[in-house]
Amino acid sequence: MKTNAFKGLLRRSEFLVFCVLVAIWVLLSSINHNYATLNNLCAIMKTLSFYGIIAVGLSFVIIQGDSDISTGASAGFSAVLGTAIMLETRCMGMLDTPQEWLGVLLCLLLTMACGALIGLGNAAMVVRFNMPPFIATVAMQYVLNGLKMVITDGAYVYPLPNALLSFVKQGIPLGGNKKIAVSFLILLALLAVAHYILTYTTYGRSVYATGGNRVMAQLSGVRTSYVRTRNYMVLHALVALVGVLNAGYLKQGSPGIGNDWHMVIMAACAIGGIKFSGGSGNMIGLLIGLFTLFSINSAIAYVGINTFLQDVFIGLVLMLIVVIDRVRSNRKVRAQ
Amino acid sequence: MSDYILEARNITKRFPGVLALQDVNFNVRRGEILGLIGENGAGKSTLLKIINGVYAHGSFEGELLFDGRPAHNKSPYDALSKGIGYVPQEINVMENLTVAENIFVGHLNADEKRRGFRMGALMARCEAFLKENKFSLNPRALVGGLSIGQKQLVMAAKAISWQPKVLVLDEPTTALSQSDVENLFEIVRHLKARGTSIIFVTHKLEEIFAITDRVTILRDGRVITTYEREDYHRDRIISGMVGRELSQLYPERHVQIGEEVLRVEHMTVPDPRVLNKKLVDDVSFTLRRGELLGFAGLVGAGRTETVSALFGSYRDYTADVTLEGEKVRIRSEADAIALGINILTEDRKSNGLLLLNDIKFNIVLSNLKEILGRARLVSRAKEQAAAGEFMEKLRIKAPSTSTMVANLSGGNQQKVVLAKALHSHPRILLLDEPTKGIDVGSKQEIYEIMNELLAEGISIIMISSELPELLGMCDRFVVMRGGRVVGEMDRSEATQERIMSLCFA
Repeated sequence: MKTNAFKGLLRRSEFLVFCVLVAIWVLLSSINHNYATLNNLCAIMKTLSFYGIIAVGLSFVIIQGDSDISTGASAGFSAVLGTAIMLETRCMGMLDTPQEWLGVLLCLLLTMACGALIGLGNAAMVVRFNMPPFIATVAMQYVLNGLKMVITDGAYVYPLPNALLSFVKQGIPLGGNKKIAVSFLILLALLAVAHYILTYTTYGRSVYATGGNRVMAQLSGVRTSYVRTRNYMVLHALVALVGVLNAGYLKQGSPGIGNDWHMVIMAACAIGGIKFSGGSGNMIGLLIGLFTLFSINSAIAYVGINTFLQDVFIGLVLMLIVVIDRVRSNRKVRAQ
Repeated sequence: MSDYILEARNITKRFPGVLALQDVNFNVRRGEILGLIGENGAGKSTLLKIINGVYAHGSFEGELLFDGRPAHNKSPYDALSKGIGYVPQEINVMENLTVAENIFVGHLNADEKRRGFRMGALMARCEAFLKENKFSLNPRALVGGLSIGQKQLVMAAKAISWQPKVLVLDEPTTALSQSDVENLFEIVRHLKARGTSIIFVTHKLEEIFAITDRVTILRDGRVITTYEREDYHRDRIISGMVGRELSQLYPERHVQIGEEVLRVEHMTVPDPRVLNKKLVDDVSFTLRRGELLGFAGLVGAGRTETVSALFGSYRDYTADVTLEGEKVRIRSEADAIALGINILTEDRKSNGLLLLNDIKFNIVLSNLKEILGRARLVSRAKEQAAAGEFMEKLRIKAPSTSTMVANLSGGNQQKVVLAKALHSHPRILLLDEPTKGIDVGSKQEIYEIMNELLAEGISIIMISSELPELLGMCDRFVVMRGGRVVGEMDRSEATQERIMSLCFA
């Protein structure tokens, strides 16, 4: 029984990625003693949390058999839109009052609602009009990249309300100036909720079934159009949340937020074992994938080699993991 | 010169844990049509893959002789260039290219040295080729627009275009309508007349009788026997295949047929792609409790479309549907399932199953509410219990409910699809070709299960292209042609001739 459990663990693709992650940490800490420190870990957690929150939403879309590359553009758009709403409405008229946090929250929710509409737009193209997700979301990416410039004329939006600025600085202190950032806590909560939805609810089953075989799911009574649309909307609502949080962290609504994020996020999903063919993947894998990718990302500063090499390493790890996974799953089918 | 064009001597093929073929000897004479028959899992596919080089020389024990010489096939292309043509069971065509391009894709030029080719020359060559081999296909037609049967013919034409000495046809008639089957038989007889040997793999006894000169029976990886045509005997072949006497293929049923549960009136389904064309045209029928209603007709007569519309798969249709006395409007598959209607579609591999998920995941999908436990969470225990119950009830043969569906045999896969449908507690079950592509033993089991369901008060509509099956099982028949109902009769009035004449008219 015990050996079976162990074999089962070995066969899981998340385990492979976890080994890669451990290898990176062992290797890098032997090169530079400052790498494997709490300080660096906190920094990694903070950076990856922004990408991670979006990756949670994107995972659902990938598992349902679609994809979305407009996430980065959507984040930038939402950052600008959200901060602009806060400025223009003076936080719903609550700026510099004791209720400022409420105003910020309302503006955030409004921005997330707008984000959901972006998701609805993507879903309309992909689900209703059967456009390939790649094309549909590239189109959306152009629209949003343009719109965010139109809103601000390419300028930064600031000053931001204090409630937002102080909120993003929150976290669980770990001594010294180290803390687990609030955005990471949000990510953990989201991962837990997403894991729960995927594993223990009928909705989660529907998502897997839709990605596994859409026609079959439909014939089994799964409302696939509803599932797909809802996931796109949730994804972009989360993107909007990240956009606003990131603006708070940078102290300005910068149109540059989100540039090239979509590729990083998709890479994290792929490394985390969310299969782009749809129908499989889980949140534990995603978390490991995120840590793996951002551990490599932060390593460059500690190793002292050419910064441009970091992308090369990320690319190589992605190739390695996907190839190994393919080889292993091919073998599995052959043996049976 | 050897008498045999192809000879297999003492072939044994092992997979991890499975002995797929055991000491198989068989041979094909020059210019004969050899039938190869056996249940699913008997080893037919493995043998064919050895013959056509998918399993390369060296990956199996024993010897394969072609034209009297050892044939060391390294790949399917290798086998093809030696003269062994193969038409697989699965449809595999390039939808966006023409018939001619599909057929001649490996040798677009008659002159192999030239690189460029002219479409006009190809069409002319293809036209001549198709005419010579008696194919009724248009070389210029786009393959994507052809029926499944015609696509199958395109694949056969592709193999024949290499002028093979042996042509292997793996269950070629599964997807064909009656007229396509006739066309295929004509082609095969013509090839035989020109001296080509044909290996004809099939489940259908009728075809063995209709076209083959000899039949080799496989069971459990062994050759049981080979009969010459004059020794053909139905019961002997069946018992050779299943290893036991099949007392009666269609089990008897004693079910009291009850009141009317379903009334469909004036159902019309427009073709979603073609303007002013109707797939189903003013179709009406009724169904009673515990009744098995058979839809007879040719492929394309609108039978599948009728039950699909009833199941809510068409957005755009008109019909007055009365379910147990209440008028209902079914807009989606989910609606139908909620009303107690469920379906078994014809093509279980592409739209009946999640092949890479396990048995229980598939079974419970049609009714996820039922496996919810505390706090509306999915209960693993309930899931296991539900799946286990159906595995037992439908006699699904698998190590456990966690077995991946892709690893099951065709018959067992079909039972998983059926279990999935039953898990939603349907009152009406729509079965579209429920025994297509499965072996005789599993067929009989499916029939028995159908009888049990009818006895429980479930009503069934069955579509089948095998008339003997319909006649053997159904209480009443609706015959369709060109999207319309052209006849309706009771079991007592129905004969094969009567139904066929209505189908063709």
